[in-house]
Amino acid sequence: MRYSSYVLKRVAISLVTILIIISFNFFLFRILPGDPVRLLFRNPNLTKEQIDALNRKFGLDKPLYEQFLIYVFNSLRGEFGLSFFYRKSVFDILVPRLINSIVLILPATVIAILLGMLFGVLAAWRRGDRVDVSILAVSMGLYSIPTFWLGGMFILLSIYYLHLPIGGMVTHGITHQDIFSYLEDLFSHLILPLVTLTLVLYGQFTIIMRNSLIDVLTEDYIQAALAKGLSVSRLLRKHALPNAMLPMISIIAINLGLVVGGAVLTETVFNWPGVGRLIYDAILRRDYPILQGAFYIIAVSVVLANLIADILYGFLDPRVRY
Amino acid sequence: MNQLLFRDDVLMCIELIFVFDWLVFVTIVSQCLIYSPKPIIFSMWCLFGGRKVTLVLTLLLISSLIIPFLSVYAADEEVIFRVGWDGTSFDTFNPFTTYAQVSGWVSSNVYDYLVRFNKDYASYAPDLAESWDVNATTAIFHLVRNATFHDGKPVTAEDVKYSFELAMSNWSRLGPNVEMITSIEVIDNYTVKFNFKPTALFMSMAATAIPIVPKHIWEAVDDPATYPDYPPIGSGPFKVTDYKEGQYIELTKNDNYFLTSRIPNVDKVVLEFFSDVPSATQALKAGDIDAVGPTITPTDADQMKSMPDLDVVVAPGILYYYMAFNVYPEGAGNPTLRDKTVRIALAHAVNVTEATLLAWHGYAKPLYTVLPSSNAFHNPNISPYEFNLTLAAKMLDDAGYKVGGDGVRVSPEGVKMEYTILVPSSMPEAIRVAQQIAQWWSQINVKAEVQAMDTGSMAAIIWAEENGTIIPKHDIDLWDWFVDPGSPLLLSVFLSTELITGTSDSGYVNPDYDALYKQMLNSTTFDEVRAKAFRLQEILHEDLPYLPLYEVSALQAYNKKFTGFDLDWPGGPFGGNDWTVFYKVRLASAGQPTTPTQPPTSPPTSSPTTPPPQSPTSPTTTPTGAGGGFTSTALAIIVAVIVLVIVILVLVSRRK
Repeated sequence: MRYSSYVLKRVAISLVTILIIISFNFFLFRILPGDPVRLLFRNPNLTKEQIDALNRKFGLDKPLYEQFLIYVFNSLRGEFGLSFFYRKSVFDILVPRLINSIVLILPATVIAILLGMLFGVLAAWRRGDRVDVSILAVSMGLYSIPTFWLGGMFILLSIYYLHLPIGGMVTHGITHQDIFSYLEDLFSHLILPLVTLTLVLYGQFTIIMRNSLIDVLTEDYIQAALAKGLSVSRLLRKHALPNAMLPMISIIAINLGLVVGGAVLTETVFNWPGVGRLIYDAILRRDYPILQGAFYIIAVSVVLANLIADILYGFLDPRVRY
Repeated sequence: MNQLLFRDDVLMCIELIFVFDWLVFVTIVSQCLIYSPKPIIFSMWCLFGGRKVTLVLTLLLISSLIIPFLSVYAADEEVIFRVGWDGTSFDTFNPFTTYAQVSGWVSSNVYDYLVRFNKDYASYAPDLAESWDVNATTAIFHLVRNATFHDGKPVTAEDVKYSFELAMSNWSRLGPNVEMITSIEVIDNYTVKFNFKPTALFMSMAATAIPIVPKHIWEAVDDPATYPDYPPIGSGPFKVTDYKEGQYIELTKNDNYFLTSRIPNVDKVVLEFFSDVPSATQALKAGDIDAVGPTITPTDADQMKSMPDLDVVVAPGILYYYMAFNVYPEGAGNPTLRDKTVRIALAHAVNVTEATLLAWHGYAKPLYTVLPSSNAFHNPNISPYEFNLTLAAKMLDDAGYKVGGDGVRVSPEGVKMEYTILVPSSMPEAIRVAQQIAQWWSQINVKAEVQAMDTGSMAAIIWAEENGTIIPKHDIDLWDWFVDPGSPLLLSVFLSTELITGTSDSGYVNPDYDALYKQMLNSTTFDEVRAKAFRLQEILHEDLPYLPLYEVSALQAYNKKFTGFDLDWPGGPFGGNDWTVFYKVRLASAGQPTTPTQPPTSPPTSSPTTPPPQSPTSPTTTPTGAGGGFTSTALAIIVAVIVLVIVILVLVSRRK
């Protein structure tokens, strides 16, 4: 198969996936028990007429198939409707939250990937000895630590020793004198959640990097290269890493795709106004439009990231094209 | 001066560039580490292929790394009061469509009303109306002449009429408050007259509840039902100057407010939103915020009492917990609960006093009627069902509920007394109470199983829909109500019509009750309303669709830096009901020249749990931003750690 037709096929499959996800989103949230209007407005003053008016406003009085058709048509146009809770366009609520999430999660993911690769390589190279064991132990430990506990520990640490801000994105209510003071403010708020999230994400990358590199390092051609007298750094860089990177690419792709999905636990512990918290609140309130919008964006970005990974894969390892 | 210097989108771009810079930095460091332990510059050379781009990026990188160390905060002379909010999220500024308590709190500071409630919720303070004349069917309000909206236009009787008309629209949340109004007449620019069906509740339900919005702005709005109303233009003591969804609202004082006695003492009030109670209390302990509401946990309250900077508020509560029995005649719950004797026996088997202590460590008190004691219509004369397991068992025996073979009582019709108690999973205290109650009931051979779930799933069981009608399918639920201190409207929950609106979780049906409720609304004197409300509560006590458990005090905390507000407002100063707290709050040190912050007699305790003193030097200046100096040290530490790691790794790989 030619490379271009391989790419085309991948793109087509991605589009179909997105379409399936759009339809799935609609029914997924309507399976949740509970009527949004009754739930949102648990209020002794509410009359039957008002409930009917609210149902009409949100289109909840229409039959399900009609709601579905309207939803699919609107989703394809990038139109997510009106949030039940905020009574405002979903798009306007989602976009600032998305940016907030990306500011936190993208650096955390990238740092975690880089650190994971670094220590994974180190552990693989020194496999079996003290360095390997300690790196593996730390990775396993961090991978299994509950996020809220780690975050809570950092908060305690901050209250008594570090004195870093423990919640929010910037200090509210003050006038920042210039860009620099704004950035310093943002950065000081970013440190704790960023460190927490990085540590939590770090473990999986290290373990996968280590394991796939060990597989490669036991191959005969590595022995041959060593026998040729190659330096360690050149051996790793030119012969081992390119082959060991293949499994990493797919996991990196998935994680980069999930950057827009928010990090519910970290965002809640540090009161970070991101998508994760928005989704959590929306589930409790049965705010279907927000959920549909958020999941749509997450799905599209994961599918896109995977598409890019697939295309890269086909480029790096021509065998998968067939 | 009150606005951020940059526009939001510019800030967003800067944020992204900033993040990108750090990414590049980390990439380079890692590149160095992975490939060859050579100097950073060389690695950059490799990374960017030695093009001119490298130079630019290097400069950008270095500048962004240095920025945090160079930047300086100018001292901010404004007094800012920061309140952390951990209750239901803010929804919208539109006062006619909001259902969130915190949104109502903002409205009460941004908008003016005709009159306001005093703390007792039985008398009124003047607001836009300087005097009024009310009888059972008409009310005439004389407005102040110098009130202006935030945009400078005067507030007139036309605005009042228009606002009430908006409230009467079918989409408005405030519709039920103004149902009684039949017509509104503008007598002159500053006099307005209301005609209504006979009632004594016009003042407490309508005049205090309808915000006066500017007609000239709202008239131009296409659809007021979805109008976000941001920024809201009112005539109140505060203006909204900034708002970030999910983060904060910034209120700035209105220097031109017409009532000079109510011009705020602080420059700004910032309401910060928290997603849960623990993160809000932590922020208060860390000094990031100055007060927290609407609630903190009893454990935190006990701990904060010992902290020198903080004070705990225990105010009359507006929240209470109850158990609702499914008594609906056509309901699908356990039919034994429709027997009044069973409900009374079950009530005798609940030790309300002990349940109260169990859940709230003494910050709650037992409640025996459906309106909490902070409510103006609370009936204090109702005597509780005494906790007596023997009596309860005897009542069930006498009524024919005999103990069956498996130790569970069976009704004369052969139905087992096995119940499920639904509890919201978000209320751990309530779950504990429900489990304790199940334990008490097991001692009289009644089986109860506690099921915790999210309120959406609960609602789907309690108001299960079948072929267009609503059939309550639960046995018992344990839930809470927030009760408006000024009105008896919560009693409407027990009307037979309320099952379909999703407010009645007992399915109580009693035509006498419905009739008396109607009479109460149409009573023409306050005392008559109160007498009928008392009687309604007695009926409920006898029939027992609800077993009230306990009312929870409004438990809040604040930093002693601020003072001046009422501590005993129903619902507490930071509960969203107190419309006075923001204009009353002031710095504790203001007006008292050179008061030392630390009394000279206090012993120098140096326990590790003592928090650092909060800006003791100049109390009139707010702490400068995000703790400027601390950030730099933290950054320095991080950089040092990174350098250390590099050095170690270099050494390790050299040794090979």
